[in-house]
Amino acid sequence: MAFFSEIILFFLSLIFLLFLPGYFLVSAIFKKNLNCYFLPIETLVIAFASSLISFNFLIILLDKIGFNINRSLILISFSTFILTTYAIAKFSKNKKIKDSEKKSNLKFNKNQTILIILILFLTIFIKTVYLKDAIFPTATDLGHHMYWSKLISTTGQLPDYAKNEIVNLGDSYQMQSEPIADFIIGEHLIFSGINILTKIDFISYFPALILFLINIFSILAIFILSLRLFEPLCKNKKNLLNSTNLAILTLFIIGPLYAISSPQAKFVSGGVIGNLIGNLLIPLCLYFYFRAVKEKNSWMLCLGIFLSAGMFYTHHLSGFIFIFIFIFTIISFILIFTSKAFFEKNEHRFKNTLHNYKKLFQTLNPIIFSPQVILSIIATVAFLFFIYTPNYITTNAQTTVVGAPSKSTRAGLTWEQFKYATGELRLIFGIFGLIASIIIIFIKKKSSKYGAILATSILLGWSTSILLMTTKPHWLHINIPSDRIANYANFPFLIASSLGILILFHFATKLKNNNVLSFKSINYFFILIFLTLAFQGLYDNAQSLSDDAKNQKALQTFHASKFLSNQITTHKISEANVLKDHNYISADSWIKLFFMQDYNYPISRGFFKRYEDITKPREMCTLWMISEPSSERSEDCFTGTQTKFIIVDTSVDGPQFQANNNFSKIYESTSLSIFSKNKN
Amino acid sequence: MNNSKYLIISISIFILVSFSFLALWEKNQRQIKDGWFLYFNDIDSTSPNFTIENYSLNEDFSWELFLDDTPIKNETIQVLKENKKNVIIDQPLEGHSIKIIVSHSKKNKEIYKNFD
Repeated sequence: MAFFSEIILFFLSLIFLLFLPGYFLVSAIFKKNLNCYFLPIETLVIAFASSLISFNFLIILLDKIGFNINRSLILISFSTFILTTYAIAKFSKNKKIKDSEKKSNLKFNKNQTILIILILFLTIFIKTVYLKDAIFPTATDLGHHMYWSKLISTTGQLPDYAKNEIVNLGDSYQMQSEPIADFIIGEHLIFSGINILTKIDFISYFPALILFLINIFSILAIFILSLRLFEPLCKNKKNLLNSTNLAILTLFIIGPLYAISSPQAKFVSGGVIGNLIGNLLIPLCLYFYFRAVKEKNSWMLCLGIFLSAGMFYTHHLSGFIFIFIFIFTIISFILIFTSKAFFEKNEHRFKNTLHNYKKLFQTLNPIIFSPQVILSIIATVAFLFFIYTPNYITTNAQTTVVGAPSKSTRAGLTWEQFKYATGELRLIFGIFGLIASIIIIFIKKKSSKYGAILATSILLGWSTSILLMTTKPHWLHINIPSDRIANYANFPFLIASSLGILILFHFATKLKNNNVLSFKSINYFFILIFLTLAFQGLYDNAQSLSDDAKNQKALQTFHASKFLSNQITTHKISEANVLKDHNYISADSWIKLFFMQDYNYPISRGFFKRYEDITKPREMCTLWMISEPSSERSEDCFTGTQTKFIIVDTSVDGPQFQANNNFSKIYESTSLSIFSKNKN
Repeated sequence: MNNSKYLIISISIFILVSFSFLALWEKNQRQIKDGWFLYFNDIDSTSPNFTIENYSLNEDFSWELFLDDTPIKNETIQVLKENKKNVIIDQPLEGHSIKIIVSHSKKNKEIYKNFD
C-alpha cells in the first residue's frame, strides 16, 4: 500500500512539475490557437521540455530572491505559475492567425496511428527490459549528480559547486576547497524538485525513471522535428515519400532498432544527465528556429531562445555543440540559398541573387526584431548577468575546450571509429539522404521558398558540424574528447537516413511501374535492407544487455556506508576523513550521499591509469594511502588529509592494512572491509 | 476523438505501466539476498561488543574472542535470517589488541582493534 501511494505521488509530481507548467506556458502564448499550431503529440513534447526549463529558471529566480527551496514554496510558486498562465490563455484576446501561419494539413491516418503506437510500444518495451537490470542505483555518474540534488533538497539552497581537493604543500598535504566547472545547476534541480515533493529517497528508482522519461521525450522530439523538416521537402501527401511516413520511419529507426545503445537507454542507466537533456533540447531548439523562419512566427523564435537558454543552464557540451550546429546550418543555408538563386535564372544572376537576399531579410526582420524576441533576448542576458551565471563561465572552463587537442582522445576519431559510433547503415543512408535532399532543392522549382532550403540546411549543418567536430577537431580548434561528441552524431544521420531509405524505395517503385524492375526483386531488395537494419539495430541492443545484476554488491556498499555514517554521527567525528576505492567497490560514487559532508567526501582512489596521465598530473595521496598504507609518504598523506577510515575490497586491498598494526578492522561484509587508523 | 489523441493516451499508458513495473522491480532488488555482516558496536572505544547481521539461510554462528592473540572466550549463537544480534562481552579487557573471529558455513570473518 505504501509503495502504491508512493508511485501515485511520483506520477502526480511528474505531471505537476514536468507537464502542467509547460503546457499552460505554451497555451498562454498561443492561446486558443494552440491546436492550430501544434498536433497534440507536439504539444505534449513541447510541454515537457518547457516545463523542465521553466522549473529550472523559476527555482533559480526564487533562490536569488532569498526563498528557501522546500515543498510549500514549490507547491505555491508552481500553482501560481500554472494559474497565471491558465488565466492568460483563457481570458486574453485571441490573435488572428495569418495565412502563413495557418494550420498545416499534417495528420496521421488510422493505419499510421496504429503503426506509431506499435513502434512506441516496442521502443518502451525494449528499453524497460534493458533497464530492469539497471534500474537499481549503481551508476557512477548518477551518484555524483545525485549528491548535488540531495544537497539542494536538504539545504533548501542552490549549491556552491566546489569540492575539497588534496593539495601538496612541499613536504605536507592538506585539503583545500576548489570550484568545480563540470556540474551545472540545470542537471540537478528537477531531481531535487521530485524528491522534495514526494520524499522518495535519492537512492531509489526515481532518478533513473526521470532520465528514462527524458529519453522517451527526446525520441518524440526527433519524431516531431522530422515531421516538420520533411513537410516542405516532400509535400505530396498521396506520395509514399511524404513527411508523416518519413517521420514514422525515423521513429522506427530511433525507437526499437537502437533503443539501448548510446546515447539512449545506456545513457539512462549510466546517469548521463546532461547529454540526455541535451538530446532533448537540441532537436527542439532546431524545431522552433525552423518553424519560426518557415512560418514567420516570432513566438516560435521566443520558445527557441527560451529552450536554448535552458540548454546553456543544463549542459555546457550540448550548448557548445549547438553553437556549431547553428553556425554550420547558417553556412549551409547561405551556400544552398545562394547557389539556388544564382542558378535559377540564366540572366541577371547577381541581381537575382541580391534580390532574393533582400526578400529574405525583409521576411526575417519582423520576426527577429519583434518586441517579444527582443524582450526574450534581454531577459536571457539579464538572467545570465544578474540572476545566475553558470559555474563553467565563472570558472572560465570554456577556455579549456577551445584550442589544439591536448590528448590523443581529443585528436579526433578515425572514419572507421566514426562509422562504428554512428552505425554503418545509418551513416550510409544518411549521406545518401543528405545528397538526395540537396538534389530535391535544386530540381523542384517550388522549393525556392525558405522552408525546404532551411530543412536541408539544418540536416546538412547538424551532420557536418558533428562529423567535423568528431573527426577533425583541430580544424575547428576544439579540445573535447572526440567520442563524447560522436554520441551526438546519431540523431542527424538517423533523420537523414530515413529520407535516404524512403527515397530509394520511392524510386524503386517507380522503376517497377516502368517495368524496369520486377515486383519480386523490389520486395526482396527492401526486405533485405529492412532485415539488415533491424539486425544491426537489435544486435546492438543485444550487445548492451547485461545479466550481471549489480544490486547485491551495491547493497553491500550501501550497508557499509550506512554503518560508518551512523558511527561518525554518533561519535561526532565528522572532522575525520574517509577514503574509499573506486576500482573494486560497486556503486562507490553513491557513498557520499550517506555522509553529505562534501562532494569529495569520502576521498577516492580513482582508476589507476589516471595517476599515470602525464597530461593531467594529480595528487597521489589517494593511491598511496590504499596501495601502500605503511609507507612514509602515505603516513604524511594520512596526517595531512586527516583520513581515519578506509573502505576497501577485503580480498584485494585488505591484506596491506591487516599487516599494519596502526589499523583496526571495524567492519567486514562478504566483500568489503572498513579499516580505522589508530590515534598516533 | 482524433487519431492524435489515441497516440497521447497510448504513450501515457506505456509510460505508466513501464515505470510502475521498473519501480516495483527496483523495490524488490533492495533486499539483501545472501551473506552476513560483522561489525563493532562502538568503533571509538576499546569495547569488544559486536553485531552479527544475517541474510543467509544458515542461522548458526560461532564466535571466538582473542585478547593479544590469546583466545579468551567463545560461543555459538543463532541469528535468524534478516535479523541481527548484538553480542555484549561483559568483562574488562586490558591488552594491546582484541580480535573477534566469527565462523559461519565454513567461512570466517574477523574484526579487530589495535590499541597501540
